[in-house]
Amino acid sequence: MTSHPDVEALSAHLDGLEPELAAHLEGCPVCRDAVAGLRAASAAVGAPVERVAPAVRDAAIGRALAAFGVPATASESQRASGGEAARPDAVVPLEPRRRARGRLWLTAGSAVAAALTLVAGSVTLLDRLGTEPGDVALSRDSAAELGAEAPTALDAGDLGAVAGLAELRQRVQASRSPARDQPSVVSGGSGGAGVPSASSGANSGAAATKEPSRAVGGSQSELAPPDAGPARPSDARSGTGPATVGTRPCEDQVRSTRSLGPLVYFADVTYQGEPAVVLGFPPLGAEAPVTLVVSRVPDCRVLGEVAAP
Amino acid sequence: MDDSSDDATLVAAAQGGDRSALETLLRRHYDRLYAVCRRLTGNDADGADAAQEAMMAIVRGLPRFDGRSAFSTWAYRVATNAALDELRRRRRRPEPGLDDDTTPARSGPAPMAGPGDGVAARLDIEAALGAIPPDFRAAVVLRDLGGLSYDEIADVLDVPPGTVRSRIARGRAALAPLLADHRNPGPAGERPRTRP
Repeated sequence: MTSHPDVEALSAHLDGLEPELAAHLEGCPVCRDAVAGLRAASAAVGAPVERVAPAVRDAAIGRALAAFGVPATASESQRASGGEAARPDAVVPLEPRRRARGRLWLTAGSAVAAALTLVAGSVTLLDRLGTEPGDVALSRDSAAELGAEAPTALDAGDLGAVAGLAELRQRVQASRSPARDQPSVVSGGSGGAGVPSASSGANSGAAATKEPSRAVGGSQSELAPPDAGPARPSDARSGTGPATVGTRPCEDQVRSTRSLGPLVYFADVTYQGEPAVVLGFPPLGAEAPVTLVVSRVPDCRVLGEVAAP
Repeated sequence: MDDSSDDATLVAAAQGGDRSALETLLRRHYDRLYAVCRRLTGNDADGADAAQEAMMAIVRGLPRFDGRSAFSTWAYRVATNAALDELRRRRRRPEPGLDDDTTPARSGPAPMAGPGDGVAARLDIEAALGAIPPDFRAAVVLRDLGGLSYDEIADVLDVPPGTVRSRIARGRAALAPLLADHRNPGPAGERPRTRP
């Protein structure tokens, strides 16, 4: 009976260890075959991975630097990417985000107060989003931090067909510009863990916007007028199925996988040909950009995530 | 400080507040870390997310990096953890069509890999990697893609070198027949034995 080395030894031999096995392999076709299989697996795993686009890399590095108060400069990003034009949104400066504090979120202490303040608040929000498209990031400040009872989410409507995360970021950026159909500002969405949920009364009041809300699920559905516009993918989910449980479609499912702050952004999208929604959350308790989660409807599978522009 | 400075010099400068040094470090290592994240997670989006998380974790953790291991080894550890976290999150999401960890992460029919068919080959390896346990996957990817030594992988994964050797061997042995199935769909029993 021939004694063969075990697979660990053969694998180690591939990596230059166990050199004494060479003699055995020379006379043992069984072990040579085994080593050939291990070598093929090793080569397959080691095959080069396609690099990401320089703009994606620049954005990732820029966000990492900005998130911890180390803003990168556009010129350096462009230089490092070999001269390829860096997207204006490749770097998220920290200071503009901090300037945004206290302005992005509308407060709703009560239904009446919210109704009175929302029109002015919406104008402020839309004005700010529209005039500083390259200079603002969705703030992670939660309503709770600002002493408000109900967080307010920006409902950007339908972003249309999007091929990937980079394009999604561009659409989100564009959705906050005045050239596009004006987004609705609606309150709603459940707060993250540890964030007080708004009462339905506060939500109802805050949802009375000057533009019709295309709200889905929760208390917004009763406020949306019958002619609220063409159907969106998530409209089909309203009121039915697991994607709508008193919140936006798929919000609960996304929340179930991680700790998130209150919903700050919502939109419908056709992502890589599939109907989906975009949900924007700040990470709970972390000083980091808002995360945009693309979740397919109706099964709520997460198709992708990216930091907000 | 320029781009040719070694990692240790850049780390020291970055820890001293040199933003340019920090950015140079991140740029120098991003592609390698992304590649590991991409292989471990099995798709572009999750790989990019994990690499993004790794970048943030590196920036956040650099002040506490003590230099006992090489920066690259530490960065690999951060990226591997980010990718494994991404996998854990993904397992908690509803994924129709995926039964469990033993199901290759592919939707649709198995591609027939022909010579030069890079896409099919990529799907093959991703599907095969998705079928083996993450611990084995990490060890094999760090060795065969990252080129780390057994000792470095032990440092990254925080396990003894003997465990690394075992995981690499078992991971490769598990991958071999999966890849052979795609490329040589011949009669059963003709594959090389992986445990002679």
